Amino acid sequence: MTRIPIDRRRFIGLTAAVAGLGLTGLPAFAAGPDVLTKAIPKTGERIPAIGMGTWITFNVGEDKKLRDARTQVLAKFFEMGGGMIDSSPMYGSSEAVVGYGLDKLGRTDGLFSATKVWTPLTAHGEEQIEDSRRLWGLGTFDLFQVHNLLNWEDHLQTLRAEKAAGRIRYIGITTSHGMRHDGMEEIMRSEDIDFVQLTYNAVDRDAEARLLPLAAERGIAVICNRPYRRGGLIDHVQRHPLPAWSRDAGAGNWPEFLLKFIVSHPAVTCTIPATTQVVHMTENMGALRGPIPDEKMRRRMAEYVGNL
Amino acid sequence: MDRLIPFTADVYAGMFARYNAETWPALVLALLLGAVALVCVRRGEPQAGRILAFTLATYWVWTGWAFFIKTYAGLNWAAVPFGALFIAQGVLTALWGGVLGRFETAAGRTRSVEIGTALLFAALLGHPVLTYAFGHPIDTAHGFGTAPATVALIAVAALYLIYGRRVLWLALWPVLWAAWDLASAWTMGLWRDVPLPALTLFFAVWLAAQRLRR
Repeated sequence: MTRIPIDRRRFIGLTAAVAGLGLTGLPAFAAGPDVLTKAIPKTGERIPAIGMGTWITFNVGEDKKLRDARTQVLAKFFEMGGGMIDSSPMYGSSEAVVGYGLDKLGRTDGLFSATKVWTPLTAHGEEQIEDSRRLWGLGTFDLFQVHNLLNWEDHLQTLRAEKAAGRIRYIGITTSHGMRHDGMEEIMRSEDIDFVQLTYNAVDRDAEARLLPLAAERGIAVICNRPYRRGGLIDHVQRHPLPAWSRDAGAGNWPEFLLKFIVSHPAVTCTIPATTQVVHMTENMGALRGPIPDEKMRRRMAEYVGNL
Repeated sequence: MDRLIPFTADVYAGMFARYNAETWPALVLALLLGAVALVCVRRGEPQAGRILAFTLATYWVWTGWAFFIKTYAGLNWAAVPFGALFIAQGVLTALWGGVLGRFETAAGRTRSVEIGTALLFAALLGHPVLTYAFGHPIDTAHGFGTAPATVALIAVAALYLIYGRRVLWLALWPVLWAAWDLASAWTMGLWRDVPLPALTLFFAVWLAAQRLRR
């Protein structure tokens, strides 16, 4: 439910990653036989580098037809090796719809559950944590984050107590849209946290200057949100041909191109594209396979997208 | 703006379909109340102002409770404060126009009453016609007096049906809501949802300009 089982495939992947680290001295990309995983620095636990966001896409309310459609998206996500699902009480019915899907699928193997606490009130934060457990149908969460740094001092205390009690495995903080980076940096320097979540993609690269190096230095895992700028970026680049050299970056289509750019950053642990469609989920999860770009290729990718 | 709209346009439309199906008796009642209020105003009945105020207050409170708090809140965290503001507007309308009797109907001021009547019919027919014209399922249309966009337009229509400047402050929330509604529709690309808040804004500003000039 809350841990990725160490089966043969994952063991081989882990072994390959350790071997790769030893040979190259680079941060480990556990490009196993078929799924790219990356390590959570605090524990070494590996998770698939492509997760799934639920902002907008899973907020379908009580509509059973749409809930079932999102369950199909969820099924494809797990089928193709996905792990992290990220949500928030801010996202309307998204947590309930994720819980509905998990219940329908009857499985949580491989799930890395991530949600947030989002309220200015400390006591209400405790209620939100309980609500999330009920909505997801989980007793233990893998990751709980303080959404947009709202009342972060008090909520981090609550999350630490939950972690000590074994009801949460990792804790973190989030921002989005490139906002409040100064506040995030201060917390990363002063607090003991496991994860940060921030906006990073081929055109929103502010995090490269301070936050990503700091995360690497402090051993904090990084989740990157808005990989497609809520669809605006993917819509824009798809009007242009994919460069021939993208094959060298391991990208056979634009989603793979954009996602591989993100997860190939050494400090990035995972990115969380969101979608309502199975076909798009298939494209997204394609970025878990094949080679990943090196630093030289990453510069070329960013320059190419920036000029489109 | 897009951070305050955490759903897609089809989910929003689907929510209206379910809301309409679950609350259709309220729509029937809203139509009856509206018809009675309009007839009373146009005939110059002595209690027409109070009837109009309580009818309008019912629309505000119902929409705040049934639509925002009981329905829309499932999709959008902002629905609860919006619902509270709709209910507050309803309470103020009931107090000002109903209890204190400050709604002096404009019967005899033909032009103002005709504009108000026309706006009421726009609130009744506008969205269903646009829904049909844009090829959306008719059950997703915004009902008269039971959906926020129609209630805001009805509120402005009511101000045309009553006389004086003392009621203009009641246009403040409809104007703010209509501006928000217009921006939301624009952001989601829901073009059928643009005309009603645009009408609300235009006629509220026009009314204020006319009455403050006198």
